[in-house]
Amino acid sequence: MYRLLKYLSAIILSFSLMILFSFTVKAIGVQPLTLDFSMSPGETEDFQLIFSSSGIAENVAISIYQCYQDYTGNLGYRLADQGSFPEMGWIELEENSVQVPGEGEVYLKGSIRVPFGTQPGSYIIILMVEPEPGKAGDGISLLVRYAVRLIVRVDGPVLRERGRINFLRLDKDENGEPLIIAGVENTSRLDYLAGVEVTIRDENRSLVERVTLRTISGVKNNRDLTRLYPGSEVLFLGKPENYLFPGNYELRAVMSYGERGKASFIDNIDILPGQFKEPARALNEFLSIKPEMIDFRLEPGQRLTETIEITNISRERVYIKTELLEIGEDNNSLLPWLRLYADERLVLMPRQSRKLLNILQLPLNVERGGYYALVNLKVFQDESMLNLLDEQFIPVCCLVGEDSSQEIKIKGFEFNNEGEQKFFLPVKNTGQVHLKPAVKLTLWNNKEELMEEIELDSADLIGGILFPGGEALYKGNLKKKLERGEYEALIEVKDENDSIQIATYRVFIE
Amino acid sequence: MKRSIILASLFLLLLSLLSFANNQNFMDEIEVIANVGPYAAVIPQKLMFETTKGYWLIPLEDEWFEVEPEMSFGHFSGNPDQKSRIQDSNCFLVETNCPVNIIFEGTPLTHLDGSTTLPTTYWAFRSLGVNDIPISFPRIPFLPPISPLQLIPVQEIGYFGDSSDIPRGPDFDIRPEWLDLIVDLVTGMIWPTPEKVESSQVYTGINEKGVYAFQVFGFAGVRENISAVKAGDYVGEIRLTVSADS
Repeated sequence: MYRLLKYLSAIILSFSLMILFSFTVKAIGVQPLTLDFSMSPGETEDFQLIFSSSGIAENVAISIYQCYQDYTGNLGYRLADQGSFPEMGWIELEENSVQVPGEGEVYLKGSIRVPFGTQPGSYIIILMVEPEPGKAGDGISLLVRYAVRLIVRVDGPVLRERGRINFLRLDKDENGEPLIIAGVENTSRLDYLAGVEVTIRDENRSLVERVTLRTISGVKNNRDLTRLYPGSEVLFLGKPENYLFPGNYELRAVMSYGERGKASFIDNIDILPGQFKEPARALNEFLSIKPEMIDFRLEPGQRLTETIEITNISRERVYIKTELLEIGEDNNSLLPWLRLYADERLVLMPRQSRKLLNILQLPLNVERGGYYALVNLKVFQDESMLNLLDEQFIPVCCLVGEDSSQEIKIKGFEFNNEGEQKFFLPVKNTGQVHLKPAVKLTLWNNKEELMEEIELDSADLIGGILFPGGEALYKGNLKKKLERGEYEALIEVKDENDSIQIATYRVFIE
Repeated sequence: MKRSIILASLFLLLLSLLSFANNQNFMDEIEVIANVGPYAAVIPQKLMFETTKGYWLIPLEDEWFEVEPEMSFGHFSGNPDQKSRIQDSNCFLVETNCPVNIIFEGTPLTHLDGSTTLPTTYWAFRSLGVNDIPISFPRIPFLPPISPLQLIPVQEIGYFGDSSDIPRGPDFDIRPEWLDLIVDLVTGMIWPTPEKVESSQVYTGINEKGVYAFQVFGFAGVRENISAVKAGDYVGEIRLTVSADS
């Protein structure tokens, strides 16, 4: 809701303000945006660009730029200079500026000539197509330009793709959680697609996890592979899913590139106690559970099969008892229709995994709403099943039908100024379905200056879920101590990314 | 009977082979080439609406139409206490037949003689979709108008500009007083802070052909030290660089 309000205010602003000035718009269409050439020294190739009209006549200039790949994997552009970028002399254009009429298309012919003596490799030349600057107006002008990429692959002997990993390290991300960073370099004269995978092994050489690293550009594109241009140095990043307990680990990164290229880098790291923030699930020292919850939407009569994979992440053999439980008396129970296919008692060796099968068959006459159950896993030290080491719950949530009302009630707001300054916020799920609430507190002083933003946590949730009718107490500490005065606290409760409740409170400190 | 069917089939096969061989001769001489290269076009767009009213001046529907794209911050009086301003969104429609990347860059409002600048920051969004313009929507009394999809921001791309020179805030100057309440609620959230502002933002989310819409908002203000700000007209530039995905 809060985010929606933010967007709505932007929308409202966008059509409420007055137009005071205007200027000519520069916007043509360009085709193609990339041209690939495989050439030999001394060879010449012709090409042409097509500019389509934007509806008004305009002049466009074509300049030669060079591109560079930054550490994120993205390309940047700068005006080419003959001294540092001799490839700009390879291009000949019929015109450096063309007039695109109000209707139709204009063709611009050009040629590229690879001089004798050019070393084999990939060369990238950018033709930047941009409207010529018009009369200066008032305010902000909008300029659209197109970077047409010419990739020239010059054949030659002893031309091989080469790459290397310059470094591999384990850092902290902005949340204090471990982040693996590999610095990768394309040391060849060819461009290629590259990807990096890291295996983490503990001191017994047991596999802890395989992590696929991605560049920042790859993360945004949801791609594991990134094209690396000759000479570029790029960072590949990734986060381990499993908590890395203090101890010694071996990190082995393998970079795969081009047709068959491989490069590896090994580093041994020592993780100290408290070095990284322990995620909530790492409080479980014995089991890694995937998925941590089962959440789905079905229609009456539908059937669902789901597996849960549990892995013993401890260094000891453990004994596990499995059981299905109800959430509470008030909630619609899934138990009559849910079957768990697993041995009641499991034995898992260190790093060993086992899959549990859940089958849910909804009856045809089931009413719309939320239905729930818990898979309970009890971890014991030995086969006597007496010494309980740990207990985990996996929520199973099933929404039947499309309608679902999400409601939450903030039952109070308390600020504790004695000792550590703390906020307390009891909430209740008054809706018909479960929530995954995230509570954020934003604090302003009476000059409307932003003081602090904190996320409030609750220990009362099961797998991060607040079930219908359930209550939870959220708490949060301020990083900086507030001085005497009056403050405004804005509370925003979100479910996933949707705001479901906003409230403001006054805070007085005497 | 069976033998005659086989003979007829062989005859048909022979005819078709001869026919194919004959066509082959022609095909050697006819060259058909179809080449569709990666393409992109960007259309800046700015939309406004007019309300059609019925009896008793009751609003009936809003018709949205295009006007010249622009972003102007109007007149700053020179008073150092004057609040900063946010300017309305201009949208860009990107039509492409291939995955493309877009780099958003912006220059600050700069005096025409190039001597001084005003703190300026931009904010880019991907929009929900694209409606054909003009378009009309029915007006529901007492509610704001329904806006076309290209004016509904859904994915924040980020702030861009000079992170060391952002407009003072969160506090800004808007004209319609009824907006104050809404804006006050969100000012702290939307105002740029140095750690959020990058010199450029790259959007790499266009992975297939289609028409995509983007919006850019601008923030600008005067400096506290008014003697450092020269009177006159100030101009800036938002630059979109479109390239095929690498």
